Amino acid sequence: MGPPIIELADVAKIFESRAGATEALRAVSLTVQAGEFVSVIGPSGCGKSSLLRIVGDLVEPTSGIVRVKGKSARQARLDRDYGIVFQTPVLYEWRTVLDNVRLPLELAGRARAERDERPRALLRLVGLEEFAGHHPWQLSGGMQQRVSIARALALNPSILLMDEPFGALDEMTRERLNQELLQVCAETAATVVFVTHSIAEAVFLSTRIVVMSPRPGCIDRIVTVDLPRPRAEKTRALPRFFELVTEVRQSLREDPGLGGEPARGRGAR
Amino acid sequence: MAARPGQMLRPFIVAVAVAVIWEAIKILFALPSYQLPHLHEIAADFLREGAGGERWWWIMAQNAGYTALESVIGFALGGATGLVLAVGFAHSRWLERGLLPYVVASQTVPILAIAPMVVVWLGTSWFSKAVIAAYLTFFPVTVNMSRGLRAVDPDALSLMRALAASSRQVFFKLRFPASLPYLFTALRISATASVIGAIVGELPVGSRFGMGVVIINAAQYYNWRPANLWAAILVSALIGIVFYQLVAAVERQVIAWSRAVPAV
Repeated sequence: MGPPIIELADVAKIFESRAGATEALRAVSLTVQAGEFVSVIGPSGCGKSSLLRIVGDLVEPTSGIVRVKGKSARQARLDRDYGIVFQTPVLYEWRTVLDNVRLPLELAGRARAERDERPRALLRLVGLEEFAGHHPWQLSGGMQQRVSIARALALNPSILLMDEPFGALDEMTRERLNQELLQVCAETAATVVFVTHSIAEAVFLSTRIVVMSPRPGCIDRIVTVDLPRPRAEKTRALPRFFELVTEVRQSLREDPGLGGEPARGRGAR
Repeated sequence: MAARPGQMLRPFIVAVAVAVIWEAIKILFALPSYQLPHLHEIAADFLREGAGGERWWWIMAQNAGYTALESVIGFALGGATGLVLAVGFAHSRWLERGLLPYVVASQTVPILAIAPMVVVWLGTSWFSKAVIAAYLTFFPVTVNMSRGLRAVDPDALSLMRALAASSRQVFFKLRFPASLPYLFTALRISATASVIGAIVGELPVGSRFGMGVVIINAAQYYNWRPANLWAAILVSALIGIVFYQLVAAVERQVIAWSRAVPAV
């Protein structure tokens, strides 16, 4: 293995507000290798979103060190090493689907030829080519999220940060998009950090699962997912899949702070 | 964006209903014409010959055109001023805290008190009227637009940050387009306010053209010719309605994306 693409050492985050200080993250250390798909799972309020935003330099850690591709997270952001997908699609409604995907290329001042061709190729990749001229509101939630994934890939980022991207979708759409995401990642070779509530989703997608415990958020356990690749629908039927789901669920349950309702029902079905 | 025939008809139905109620009240309370003229008396006033030999509909049309022009110029002036202030406020809390109290104070002073001073400073030409119209126009734009510029979805801003956008890009590619619905809401209000501003600007002594002058004269002769004032009011209202509809039509073109209904 080469040098890690993401390195977190002893990262802590304390949010100060009028109501007092909230310790969101404590002593988080993690390394991610290039090409990995790392899921971060944990109950609400465990700081997993904060962790993702710290990696992407959207939030500053209170203490600790973040290195991305051997540089600071800020430098990585300025170098446009990140593609980001939020829980909501965050499409700009005054832009067409195609122009939304084009946005990162415009911001980066890419050449006209690339600005014209790349968005079309990306829409083809997520299967929405014929919706290029539509406005976001004309698309379903799942389609909007695919547009947002296409946009995240526009600058061919080496790191894809995904903050519960399928959390608002129904289970069937979610499973289909899980499959599509793996195909897209295989083609782009991006490293993915993926925040989720869903145990099944984490097991299906990941090479490793970071299980977090809440208040203050810290890494409870890291589960290595040794399921064969490429993953497909039949992966979900493997005995090993169920074993891993159970393993992650138990890690979440063992946490004393949770009171026995960690998986929140919709996690593993 | 053509409205369906049924929608076009509705204001007409209301107009007919108002006319019926109008005439009914006049009969019911036996109101003399100086309190409430017959509608046909108002209509007839447009066909009456004025002192200079011109028909009143033509006199009204000329003055209305003059007022409309002042309003449009004032609207543009005020809109631009409002926009600049809003951008300044959205950019700097310090600027907002320092200036906003005075901006608010400017709107609590009756425009009737300010108009004569502006006319004294700037003369009785169209320009002073446009400035008074702008005075009423800029405020809604400032208030609404500075709110719109701030009301941007935090994740949309995070996206811009993640993509290392410059603050220029954040403004022109996110904040400004996102706040266009706020801007147009303000411009609708401003469209009617600018007409009022222009008319009030025409009231002080020395003005020779515009609906304000027509209104002042009609008011002086009200007991003798009440229908004339009512006709002037009608025309003034018409300027405001047309202006409002124009702004609304532009809005429909510019932000068609905003009021859309899911289709898929």
